[in-house]
Amino acid sequence: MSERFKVDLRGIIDLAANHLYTSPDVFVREVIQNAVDAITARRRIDPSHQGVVRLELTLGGEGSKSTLCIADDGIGLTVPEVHDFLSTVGGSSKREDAEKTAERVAEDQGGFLGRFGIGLLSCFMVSDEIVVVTRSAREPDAVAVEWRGRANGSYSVRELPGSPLRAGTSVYLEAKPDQEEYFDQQRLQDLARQYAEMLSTRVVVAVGAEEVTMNRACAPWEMQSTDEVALQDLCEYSLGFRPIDIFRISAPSGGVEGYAFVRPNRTNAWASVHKLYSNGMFVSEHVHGLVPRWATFVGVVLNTRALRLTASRESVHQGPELDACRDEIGAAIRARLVHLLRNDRNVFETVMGVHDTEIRGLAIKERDFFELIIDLLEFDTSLGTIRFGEFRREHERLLVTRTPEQYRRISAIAAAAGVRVFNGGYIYHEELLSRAAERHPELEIRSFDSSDLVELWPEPEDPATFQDLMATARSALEGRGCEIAMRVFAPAEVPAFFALGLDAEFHRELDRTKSVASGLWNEILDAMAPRPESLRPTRLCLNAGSRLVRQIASFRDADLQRTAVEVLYVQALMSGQHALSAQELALLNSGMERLLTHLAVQRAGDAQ
Amino acid sequence: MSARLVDPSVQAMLDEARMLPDCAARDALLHRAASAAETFGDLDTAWSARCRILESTSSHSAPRFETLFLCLAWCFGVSDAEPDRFPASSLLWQYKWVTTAAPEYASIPRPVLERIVDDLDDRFVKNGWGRRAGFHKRMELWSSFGEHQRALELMPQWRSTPRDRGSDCNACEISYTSWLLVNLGQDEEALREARPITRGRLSCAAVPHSTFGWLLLPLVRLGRFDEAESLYERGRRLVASLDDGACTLIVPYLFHAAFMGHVEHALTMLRIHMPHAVSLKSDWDRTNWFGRIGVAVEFLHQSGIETLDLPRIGGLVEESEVGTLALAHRCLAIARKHAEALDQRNGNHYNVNRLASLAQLYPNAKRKNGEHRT
Repeated sequence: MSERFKVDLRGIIDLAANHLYTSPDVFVREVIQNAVDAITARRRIDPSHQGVVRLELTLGGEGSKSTLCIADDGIGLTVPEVHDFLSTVGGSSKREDAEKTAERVAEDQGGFLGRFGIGLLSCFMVSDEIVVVTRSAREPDAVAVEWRGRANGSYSVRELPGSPLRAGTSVYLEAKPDQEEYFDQQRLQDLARQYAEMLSTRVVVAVGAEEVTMNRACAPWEMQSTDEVALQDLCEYSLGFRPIDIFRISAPSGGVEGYAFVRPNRTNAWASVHKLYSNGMFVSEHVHGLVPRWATFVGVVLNTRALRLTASRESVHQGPELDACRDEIGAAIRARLVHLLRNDRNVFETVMGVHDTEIRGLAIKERDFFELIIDLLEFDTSLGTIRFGEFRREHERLLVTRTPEQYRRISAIAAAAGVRVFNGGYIYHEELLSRAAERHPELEIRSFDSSDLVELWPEPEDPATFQDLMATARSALEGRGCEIAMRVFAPAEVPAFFALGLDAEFHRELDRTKSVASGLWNEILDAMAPRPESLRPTRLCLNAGSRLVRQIASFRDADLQRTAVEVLYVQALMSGQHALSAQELALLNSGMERLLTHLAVQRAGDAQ
Repeated sequence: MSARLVDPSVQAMLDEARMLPDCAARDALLHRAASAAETFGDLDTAWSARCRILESTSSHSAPRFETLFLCLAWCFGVSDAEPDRFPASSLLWQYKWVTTAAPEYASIPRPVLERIVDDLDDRFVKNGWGRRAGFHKRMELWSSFGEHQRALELMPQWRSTPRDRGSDCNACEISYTSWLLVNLGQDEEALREARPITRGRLSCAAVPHSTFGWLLLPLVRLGRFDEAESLYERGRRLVASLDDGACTLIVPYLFHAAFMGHVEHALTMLRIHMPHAVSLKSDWDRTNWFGRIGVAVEFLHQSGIETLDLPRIGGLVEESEVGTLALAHRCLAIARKHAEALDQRNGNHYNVNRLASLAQLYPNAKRKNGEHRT
């Protein structure tokens, strides 16, 4: 047996009035929306009708509450319509009309802003009773009707024969004791402006004799892209920043039109503010899924005529329509970047100057964009900044460090040796270079670290000079997992260089983690350690071109030579910005102490 | 609660990371911030930065599992020492990923792997989570040793254990079951099991990208070529759209493309993913990648393709134009080395046998080659 659901009317009203929306603010939007829709409907029978929506606020005083009347000169309602639409939750005159014009819905919901028949209930958030006085414009002798609805789900209707009321509708609200703030003049004006300023129907807020029109002269999506100053002002007003570039956005899938503005500062996706309007009515500043996540460098002001809104009308229905629209918006943003790249390099450089990371990220994500931009991207190298295109035309091999720490350690020394090493440690740089290798198979990209640098340096021509020093150094650093090498490298002022390959760095990190980790995890980490035979040796490379090293090599005092090597070892660690262990710090201190003692003894001897 | 003072250089890295989407660069930055915070003795910041890495989906993609291991080891270390300050519950979900990845490294001994699953099971129960994930991970572990029948025998216990917040999602569980059945040669059953996924009714972050790939083989073995082609197209596109992890997931599609005559597709996939494949770390991934690619390239050679234009990759592709036979041999040698390492650890010949049987996986390939060439 088929039965019908039962509905708890009070529960439904409570749901629609108090839980559907994120804030009571939206009652202003709902009443304006109903009024604008009524005017739109009247224009169907009288195309010359202009129409105006008036929000008349009467401030309360001692013993009296503030009231708000929202009046329109729209289509109005007949008695049966009042029963059908005002008194039926979910009943909407606009839905039926929109459905009748189903073929037009995708383009323009029949010109109406609302369609769910629940908007008026939002007024129960700020008022215990809603009074609607209305007279239909469809029939010249239509009688005026008064409808009173209460939050407990009861309502009454009475006809007002002989009323001089003109065609249209007025909604009266009286402030709930705890909702007086919504009946404040400034608050009401702010909300009305936020929601209605882009509407083509005139909306006025009146308090006493003071009347303020809320609408802007021209909606952003109707502005010409040549009107740069006005668009700059609009961006500052709507999104809160002066843009460094402006371009038009058109996304036919969502019937979306408007402008995108490139931000003058970096921001992240969750902090990005946009403005979306639906048929001119403000929807939200944060519409999930409207703009691609990578496009954090733009803010948009857009109007949609086709995207489906959720019942609360504070967001957009997620689905294929929105996906297609987002793709089109993404394509428009990419197209703009490409346009700038080809036609306006100054602006492009300005955009890159601020959003370098984001645009590199986009290049990684979008293959076509990558192909267009890779040659023009600049990279930091040990021999200065260079564009990728410039480099690849003249070289067959590209050396790149994988971490910024590795780059810092070797860049000065690589530069002195005339070796160009790319800093792959910056965000996205190594990934871009790897991708570039796919595009340019003729170019070999090789990971480079401080161990590789040592391989480039020659051995000294007089190795015998350093024989004793090498033996002392090996003995001094025994047990530290570090080999000794003697090489000649520039600058000569650097006496020693500590070369640690990436695998060895990972090994050091494993060791550090093991000092924190517990039993089972230590076994896992031990098992993950690179096999010793696969590790490139960690080396202290002494500089045979350094005067200091030659001087140490000439010491006949083995203890003094040993101390000097220990100090050089720690110095090399420090200049490579390696974190010192307690043992290494102790080695430095004791070494310095011994050197100073030796100096004092020597001076004392000289004095005698 | 008072605000924590964070060193400005660490804060700058954390701020920068906040600007970035979920990606390898973000993880690397967070890792640097965590290490630096630790140097300053700021354990709270080091913990929260590492937790952010653990939460990031990109850290779970194959080349970066080592970061995940290091992070989790550190986090469990401080959590075990101060459980109230650093609650273990925020690490348990990620522990499952590590448990799945650990057997892929031949250097981790078998008894340690068994103890990881025991430890996961214990920690889940201690934190009020259920045992379903423990059973699942144990089955995965045994499957990774090639002991599929043993894993299958645990299935009734797994399935009868109630789902809880630690369980994998339905899509992942069904996907794993279908993989197990494929490995047991139960092709029809595997396809039936995966039907909610192939029909688009079940999906998640990992499914169906991976599932479609391993379902190609049973479809081809059963001669259901049209269905295989349809899954191939759908899966290949899904994997291509991934930001991370595409390199390991693409292998079955690349293999299928080479054998089923989509030569241009195969070559494009090879050019795109080969440079990333050389940085794969796990023995399992390297066995799979280089084994399948070696056999696929060998097949291309037999089909008359003698050279390929590929990016130069040290030790693998020294010149931009490489001979297919030489490349196939190099790839197979790499794969064999890792397969042997895994087998030595596992105490069987599962991976070496698997490699040896790759060339026979597509017995109908030559016949279909002409029909499908694009």
